[in-house]
Amino acid sequence: MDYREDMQPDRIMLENSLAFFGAVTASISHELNNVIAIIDQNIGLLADLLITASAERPIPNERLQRISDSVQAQTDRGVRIIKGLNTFAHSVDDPIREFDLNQLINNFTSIAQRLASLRKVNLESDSEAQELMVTSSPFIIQQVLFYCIQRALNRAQPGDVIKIDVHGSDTQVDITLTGRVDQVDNGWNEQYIQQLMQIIFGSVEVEARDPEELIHIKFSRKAGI
Amino acid sequence: MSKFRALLVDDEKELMTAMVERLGYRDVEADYALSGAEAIEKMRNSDFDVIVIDLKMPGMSGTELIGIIKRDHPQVPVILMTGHGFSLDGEDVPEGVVEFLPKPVNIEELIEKMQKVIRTNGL
Repeated sequence: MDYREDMQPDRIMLENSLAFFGAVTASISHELNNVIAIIDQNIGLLADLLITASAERPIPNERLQRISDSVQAQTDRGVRIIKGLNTFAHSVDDPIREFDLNQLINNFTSIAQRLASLRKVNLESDSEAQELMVTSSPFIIQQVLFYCIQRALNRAQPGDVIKIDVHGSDTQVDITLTGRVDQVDNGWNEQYIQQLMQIIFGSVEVEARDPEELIHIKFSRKAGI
Repeated sequence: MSKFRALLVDDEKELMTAMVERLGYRDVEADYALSGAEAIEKMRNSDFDVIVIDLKMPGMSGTELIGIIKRDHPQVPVILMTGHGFSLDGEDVPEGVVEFLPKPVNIEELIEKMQKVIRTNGL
């Protein structure tokens, strides 16, 4: 028997939210660990070179330059990862607030790209550079996107592209996630996704316009308040 | 112990090049592959005494690669390199893994583990 059968819906939602938060932070920590591992090996390599160097056999400048470039590149990568993690972590600060949806989608797309890369799949977001301010729940929007991306990844083939399109008008926002999808998917909790979206979007319109379109969400720019 | 040949498999190229060079300074003849498919190709063309594999890789996962190695090269011991909390007693250990090392890897510890599994393997 599923131990969650007797749980209250809000308790299930809390558990799902924590599971989502855990899955995302575990993925980020794995990537950050790779960054540290590369810097660690470069420092070890530098120490090895120093041990073997002498006045007669100095370390060639190009060797030092290559190590320095690698450490710099990994430091930059680490800064990007931590910045993304920080933005994600702060998305739970306020349940509902005003934020830039384009920035949120871009940040979350780069976080989710690691999961997609494991399947050799690319995530593409066409969210525009300019601000698209909405008042809603950034955490729940990311959670919905995460489940949709996971569902698309379940059926994706190496080389596939999963697209996330965001378009805003004066009053409304459209998010469309397109990927390879089957009608029946055991890992897909349709009811839970609907429940999440009802909370933040109120009268949400969710539709699939063609067989490959995973989800199409329309909501007011000031939904949820 | 006589010299031995190691194949490292991880999709992080900068990690691989640095580790291979460091192993070279310690008389270990090492090569690397950036994917499971490349590792299978290298194993088809060369003999290795030990394989060191990262669990999480794009495309073919470390677990899938270990399965193929155990089928096609059952004599070659496999060491798992992973950033995850892991123990050899855990339920998630892929069959065929004889040792594991957490990332970041200590190069001296890696060599010790490689020597140990090769000795156990009777090289």
